[in-house]
Amino acid sequence: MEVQEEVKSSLLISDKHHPFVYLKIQLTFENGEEDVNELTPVQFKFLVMQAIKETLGEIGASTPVDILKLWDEGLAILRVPSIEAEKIWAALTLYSTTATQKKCAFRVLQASAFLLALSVNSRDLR
Amino acid sequence: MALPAYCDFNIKCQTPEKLFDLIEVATELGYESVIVNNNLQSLQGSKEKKKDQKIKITPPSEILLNEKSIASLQSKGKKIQQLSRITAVLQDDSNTHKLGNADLQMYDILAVQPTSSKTFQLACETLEVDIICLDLTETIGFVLKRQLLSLAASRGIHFEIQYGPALTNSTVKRQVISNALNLVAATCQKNILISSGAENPIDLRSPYDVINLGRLFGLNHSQAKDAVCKNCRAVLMHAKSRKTCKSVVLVKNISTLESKKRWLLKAYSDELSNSDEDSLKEGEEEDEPEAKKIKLASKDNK
Repeated sequence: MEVQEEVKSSLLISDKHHPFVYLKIQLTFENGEEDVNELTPVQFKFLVMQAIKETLGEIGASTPVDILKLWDEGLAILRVPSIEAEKIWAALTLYSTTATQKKCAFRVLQASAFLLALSVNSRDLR
Repeated sequence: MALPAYCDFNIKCQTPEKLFDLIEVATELGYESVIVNNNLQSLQGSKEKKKDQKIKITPPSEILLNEKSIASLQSKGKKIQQLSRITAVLQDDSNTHKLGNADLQMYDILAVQPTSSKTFQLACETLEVDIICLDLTETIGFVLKRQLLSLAASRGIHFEIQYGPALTNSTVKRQVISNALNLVAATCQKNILISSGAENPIDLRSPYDVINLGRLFGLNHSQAKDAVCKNCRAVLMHAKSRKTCKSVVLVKNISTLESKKRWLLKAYSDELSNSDEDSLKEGEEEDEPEAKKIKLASKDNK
């Protein structure tokens, strides 16, 4: 294997205001009652919106929340405006039962202003 | 100072299998210590019922997991520590002397839940407890006086906010948030604990979620973090100091010593001049009655 002669690394520190916060979230159901792998993005979005509506009401639900990616096991990346991020995170935390009376929980695994930061989780490094 | 260890102060005691699941999920979420809570509905018990009551207070070793299952959790490379806690509901201000009973003191942490302004005042002013938790799911029913709360805070007592009930339905959620905001404002954002009160693993939230939830309760980010880290440690330390023997140390300037007690000083300096270890020990022994006397004298002056 060839070793590269020059490896440049740079650190960028930014103090700008960032418009969005990206949240990596996981939806879990109690005792695996529902198969999270079978959730469509539309259903997932519906659950997220329901969670926000339950705690923050219609005005809270009017904030633009986007699902950028949905993987297996209920993993997803949300993009929320940074001003509203705290409230929306709290609303997701406080969500516990779906409309069909199934117990579930949104777990926020990571939160960052940069989408790239979600590619690795320092908490998993051992 | 230890690394920040997240701590959940209220996990309901239940069957070992369910408790194991709960604690397993808690470790996965990143908690390093969990506290298993035994709720005691009332301290009262008439003389005939005394035997029943003794059965009611289960010793902490029975509600905790045994060492084997804890070791199996720890073998996965994660730290976990379990502690026991008892929460006594204070119906009235009699019977509070029972908090000193040996079967209650066996628990690591002692908490009380006052139900009226009288018992709340009692808990803040005199009771030797670590945590005061209020039932936030209903209207509190009395005014949380700032003076009382700051007095309790100065005695090292912490106030608990349980977010578990807020996950059930919207009316309870509303009530919990408004009461929590009230409590946080009254305590000046100090000495607050946020705990789950979880019965099922699904009711647990990760420490980072809880910190963010603290923002909703009117704490700023570092205060919210303290509510799951630093304050928990403070409570554990408070509990430890409560269990060690009661002692008083009084420091006083020599020049203010009364003329009657000058001989103590002289005797002590004589002891020091014979710089033997034995004499030092004697000097320490003599120091204690001196301190006591001075304490008594200062009381008389008041």
